[in-house]
Amino acid sequence: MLAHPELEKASEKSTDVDPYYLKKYAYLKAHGFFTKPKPTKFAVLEESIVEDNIRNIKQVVFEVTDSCNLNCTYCAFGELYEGYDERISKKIDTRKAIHLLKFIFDLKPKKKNDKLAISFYGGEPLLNMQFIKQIVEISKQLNLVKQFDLEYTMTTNTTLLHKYIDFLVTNNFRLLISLDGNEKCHSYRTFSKDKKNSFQKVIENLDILQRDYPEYFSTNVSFNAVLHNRNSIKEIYDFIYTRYNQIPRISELNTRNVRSCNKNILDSMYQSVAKGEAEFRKEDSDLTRLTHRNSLLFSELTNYLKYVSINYYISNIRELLYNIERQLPTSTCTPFSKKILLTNRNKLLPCERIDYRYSMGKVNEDIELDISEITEQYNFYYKHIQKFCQTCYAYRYCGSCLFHIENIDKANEEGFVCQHFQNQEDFRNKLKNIFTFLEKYPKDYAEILKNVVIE
Amino acid sequence: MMIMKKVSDYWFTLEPYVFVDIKNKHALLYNTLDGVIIESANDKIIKILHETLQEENCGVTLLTNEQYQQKEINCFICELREKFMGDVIDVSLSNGKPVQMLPFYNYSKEQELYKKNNFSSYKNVLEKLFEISLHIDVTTNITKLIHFLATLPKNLTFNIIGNMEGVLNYSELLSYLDQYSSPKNLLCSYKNLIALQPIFENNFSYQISVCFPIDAERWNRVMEILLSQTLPAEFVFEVSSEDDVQQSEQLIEQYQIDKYQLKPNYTGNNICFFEEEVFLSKEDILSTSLTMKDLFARQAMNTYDFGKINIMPNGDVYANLNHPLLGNIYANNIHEILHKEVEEGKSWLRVRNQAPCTDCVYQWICPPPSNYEIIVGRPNLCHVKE
Repeated sequence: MLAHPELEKASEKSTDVDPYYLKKYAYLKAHGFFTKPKPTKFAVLEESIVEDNIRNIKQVVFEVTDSCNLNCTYCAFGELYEGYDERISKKIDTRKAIHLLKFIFDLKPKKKNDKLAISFYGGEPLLNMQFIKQIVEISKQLNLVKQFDLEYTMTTNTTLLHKYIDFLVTNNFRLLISLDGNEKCHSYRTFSKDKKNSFQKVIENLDILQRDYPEYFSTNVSFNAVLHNRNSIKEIYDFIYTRYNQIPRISELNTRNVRSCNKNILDSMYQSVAKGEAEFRKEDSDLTRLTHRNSLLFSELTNYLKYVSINYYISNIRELLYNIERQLPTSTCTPFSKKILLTNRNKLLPCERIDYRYSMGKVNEDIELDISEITEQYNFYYKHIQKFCQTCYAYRYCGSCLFHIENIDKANEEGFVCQHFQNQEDFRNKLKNIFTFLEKYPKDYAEILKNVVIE
Repeated sequence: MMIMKKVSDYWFTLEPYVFVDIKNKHALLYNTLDGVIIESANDKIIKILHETLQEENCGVTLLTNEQYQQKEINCFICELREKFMGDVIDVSLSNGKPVQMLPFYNYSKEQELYKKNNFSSYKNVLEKLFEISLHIDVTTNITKLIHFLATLPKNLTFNIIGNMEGVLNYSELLSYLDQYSSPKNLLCSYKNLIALQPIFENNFSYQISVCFPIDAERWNRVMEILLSQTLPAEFVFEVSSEDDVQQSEQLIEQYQIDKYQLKPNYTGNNICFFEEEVFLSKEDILSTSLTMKDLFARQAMNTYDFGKINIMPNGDVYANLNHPLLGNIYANNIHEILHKEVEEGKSWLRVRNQAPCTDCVYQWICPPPSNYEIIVGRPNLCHVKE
């Protein structure tokens, strides 16, 4: 809350404080302010939630193949990293993928306009187009009964896009394109065969798509750029917006599971989005104004307003019913609440961003998902991480996924720490940034509360 | 206490724990920390409050020295500060215009705001369900009912309502519910209370309704049954008159009943009793201590009905028995039923947003609309807006 400087002095037990603020301080203290926070109590995950998540899957992701025609220097499945299944040019088992698809269609209750996304992920998914075509065909047949709002999505490097444009457009695919900016910016994304920059081919294909299907392009194509030492936020926005009229999502290089021998290489390539943003937003330009809502601080303010501030209840109506919140530790999605991933090794995971060693089931002759075991596993992590969460100032929203916390599988061992823990000082700094941003853009307050919905 | 005279301008702000409502040139400020209020009908003060609440002002407005010196504004600020409900800060103490994160309410489309934030197709509507009332009679198909219950979360509160005596395999239902640790309430009239087998004592309790006149023989039987077992029991005395109230009090005293409620019962011809006992005066409304969370709840949902459904003996489902049917458990799955309530229903999101309450400054301080409003046929049961 906005506090008079004298109130701050009173809280710091300074001398020579305006008596009114001494009185106000005492009043607020008597009503629970300025007291040491009580350790937060957390809920446990219940099997029924996992069961229900599986019954109502919203997205099925297929790791179509682990092959890729590019060999991007920073690829999470490349030489810099460990912790993934070895890349052996293996395609997904179509029979098992269909088995999973039928299982989901059978299980998911019929509900008018309920969304079901079917997503293709790789490697480069377009290297196994036969599979994609089969799945599209079968899902359409299965959907004759259930009538879901079916949507196909794909993450692609676009170098093979020219071969399949008509099919993708006809089936209204949503495409997430990996593009790091202009030719120099994109230079880590090279072809496997000759190590040449893939930029020209990517641009050529995107230009064709935009020229032949301009409407489709504007509604169904989005971009993801990786920030590193060969590009900058300004260059990324500048190139992609100028050429394709789109604001890309910008992500950082993955800093988890880096092979110890490659740490220096990664360090030299790494650039934080926060720093890059700060640099980019030093000047006021059309581009900074245009990308205001994509800025990191806008996102932090959003998370603060939606998960922490007094207006928390607007997006957490359920909590209004309980005296004690029923929150689970960390910001981890409950298992399969967002999606289910089938890998090319028949493993089932709740997300493609989780190490495959945390696989939570398999597709064999049956769909093997042991709900009790999955629930128990999550509760094991929750039980051990919550000793940090209980006194963490960011306990309501830390943005951390359990599976991205180092050594989470050793959470019960001595010496385990949560590297995302925020003490009072960390949180104070965070608030300072958020409030400084809001002072500069006060209209964002109502704008976020009214118009931004976190899915 | 008077603030020192300065020539400077001020930032005026309200504290985030203060609830503000302005209707028809009448402002109410309610301190959710201690229930203290300030009311004002002064144009200048209302203008300042309106400015403070304007979205682009983000909880802070400029108060010029000239405004500050005006008697009525100065008095208002003194009262506001005395009650710790707001403050003025010399503009020279900050580099720019500060912000205050006030609760975001009185937004004209609150219901849409809550709907889009909480009930999109990406959110699990089952997480909002927390209580089921099972209305049982001889026609209930217990096996099919259990089959439906198996598709629901296991942490719900269950109310089993009706005369169990006639239901052949009710113990099958109780056995099913017994495996869950969540609360299970057996709601019945004192005239047909049954003794529960000791094996069903996992978090079961009785809620016994009592209508007048009392059947002494059956009342005594209830007392015997309750003495013979350890289940907690709550009595609900359905009172239609002052006489019923007195009789209830006698029974409570005579049998030393410590857990009970007196529930007014509208018969169609006892409106005077309701006006006396149920209708709220301004003092009644303001006597309740409300937290900011309570105030959010009153604008977001109907706290009597939200998260609850009723399943009738034939499988029909209602969120509130006074409102339209949502579906049937033999034909619809739980998601279809709950989505119908969210999209078209009248119960979960029924808030006090009808005239004359919309013109009343106590609109959100007042309790949410209950079944009495529906039965009596009036949107407000108060003496504030007669």
